[in-house]
Amino acid sequence: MAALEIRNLSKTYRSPGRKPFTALRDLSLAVPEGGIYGFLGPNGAGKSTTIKILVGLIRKTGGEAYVLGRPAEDLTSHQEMGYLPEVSTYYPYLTCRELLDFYCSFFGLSRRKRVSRIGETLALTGLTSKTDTPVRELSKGMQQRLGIAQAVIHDPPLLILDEPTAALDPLIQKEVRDIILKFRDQGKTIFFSSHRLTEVEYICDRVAVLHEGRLLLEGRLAELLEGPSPDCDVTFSAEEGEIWDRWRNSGVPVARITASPQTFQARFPQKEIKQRVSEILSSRGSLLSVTPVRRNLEDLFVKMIAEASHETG
Amino acid sequence: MRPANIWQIGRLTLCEWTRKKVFYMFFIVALAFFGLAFTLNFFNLGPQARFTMDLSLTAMGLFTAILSLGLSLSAIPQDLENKTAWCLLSRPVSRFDYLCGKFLGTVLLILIILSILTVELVVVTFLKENRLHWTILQAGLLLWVESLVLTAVVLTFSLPFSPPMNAAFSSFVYAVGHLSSTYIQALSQESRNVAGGIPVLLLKLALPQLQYFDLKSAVVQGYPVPLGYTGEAVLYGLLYALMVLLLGELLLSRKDL
Amino acid sequence: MRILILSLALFFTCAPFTCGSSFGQAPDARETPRPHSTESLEEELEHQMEGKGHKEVHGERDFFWMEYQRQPWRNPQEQRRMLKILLAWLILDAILVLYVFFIRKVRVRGKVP
Repeated sequence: MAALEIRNLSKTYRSPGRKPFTALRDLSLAVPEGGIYGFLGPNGAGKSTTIKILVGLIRKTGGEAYVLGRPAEDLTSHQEMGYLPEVSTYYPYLTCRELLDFYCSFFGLSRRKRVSRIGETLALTGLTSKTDTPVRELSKGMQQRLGIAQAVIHDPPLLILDEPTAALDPLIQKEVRDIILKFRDQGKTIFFSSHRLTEVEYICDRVAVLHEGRLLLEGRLAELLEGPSPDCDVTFSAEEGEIWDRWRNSGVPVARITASPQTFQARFPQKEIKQRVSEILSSRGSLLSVTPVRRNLEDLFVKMIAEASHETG
Repeated sequence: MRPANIWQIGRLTLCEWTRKKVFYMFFIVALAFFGLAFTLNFFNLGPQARFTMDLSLTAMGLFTAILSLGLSLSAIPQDLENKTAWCLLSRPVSRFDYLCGKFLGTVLLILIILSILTVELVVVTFLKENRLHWTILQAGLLLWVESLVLTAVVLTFSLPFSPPMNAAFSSFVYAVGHLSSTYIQALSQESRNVAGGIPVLLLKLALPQLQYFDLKSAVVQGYPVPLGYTGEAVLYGLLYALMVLLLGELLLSRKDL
Repeated sequence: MRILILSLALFFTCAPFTCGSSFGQAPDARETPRPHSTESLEEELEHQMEGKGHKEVHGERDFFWMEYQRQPWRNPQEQRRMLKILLAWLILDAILVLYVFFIRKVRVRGKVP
């Protein structure tokens, strides 16, 4: 059974006096149980709309969405799901313990079980020292950790995280990423949307790319990035003014490596490598390395979005 | 609908209000106004206990209305704007649970305040006249039931309307709801000859009959009010509030957050 | 500040309707026959007159009669009207409860993946 299943999902926002806006068009995808599933797309692609339909915050206009085999509109499906919204604001006058106890109270757990879950979750998210601190006194990073804590307080098998690292500094981004990896190791399914392609590439098993409400790409990340890259990076050292000037003037993509003087790097298609290396050697330069360029998600994403934008005009 | 969910949200709403300074401001102003009624006795404008009861019950009625309006006006819009409702409604909590929870928290707070003021009025009139005016308790209860109706109306109006529009519409409902039935009866009889008869009749039926909850004249004039009537008025208030909350649920369930 | 303005607006809107039981204003004075023959009422009115001024006796009596008339627990006509409204809301509530908790629920639960 898929953790999440979406079939021909569509959503059109209508408001009086405004033109209807279609945020999702016939979106279909299935998220298998276990692992981390990255949900990518530029701003306005429909990521948050999809997530909000899955968690029951907005109503779909067409298609079907299932959470762990149950319709997303059915409240029982919310029992086994944790959600971290894109913008996390929590009741500022409550302490971390009170807030988690409040969110935990909707799952029919006994008082004893609740107390033990709160302790475990605060420890997991590194908030034990802030147990009795009011939410309004927490830093942004701490509030994001609290957001993750409220999402997992009832120990759900499925986590839906909407841009969990957006607007966080690099240190806290890493902390949040590490917490997500811990949940993956516990066997949970994590469905998360992000703009950070390097982060997605680092932690996700599968990805889906959305553009203007349509699915552009979906599959295992390893398979999507598989295959030889057509380019190689050539690093060499040479005297200033010789090959450097010649290549620059002829439009070859060459750049100076600022950390070490008289060292340069250029990217060429594999079929040109032999010829370019001989050019370097013949102009009294030294070849330092020739490295095949690894396909990365960023290149793939940019290429897909550019092609899709070109097609839609 | 899960009563446990409603109770949890109601408890949180009550906690929210009690941790805000505005609650204490309301309470102090209400007490000050209430105290004014006792000091005015020095002017000797009539039978003292009667005057005290009239002014105090008027103050209680107005502050109940202000509290219902002031607390419910922003309760849901603020949650939606701050997005605090997102985490809550992604749990196994129905929108009706949420609406009823907000309603419960607000009316519990009003109940606490009204109980204090009602008991205070009973004690003071006892000290003045050396007899217990039990009708004051009935009047206090019906004032609370009136606040149930008003809170339900304001919470439901807060879903389609902005807070200023909601304040205007709810004040209209409050004012017209307090017009005695004779006014409305006369209005519907006068407009029966013209095309406006049906809207007036509909207005008469749809608007809450808030004068049913007004026992002020009975308390002031010393009429006993039958318990059966109080029961009927409570039932009417509960049915009206439930109907408005169900309509609110229909609006909220169609709302994209 | 907003709350204060709102409170004042509400006060001035509603004060004429809510205040005045002990001041002798008659908010709903319309031509309705007064039961002068009803002894108990006359007695009650006399009782209410105790401690009041002399010149306004007729007006005071009119006011008390109007007050008496508008109170549903004393007026059988008003009482019947109240029961009719109560019944209407009971039926409306039952229909809404049926729709919200049963009919609509079945529609959501009816779908199986």
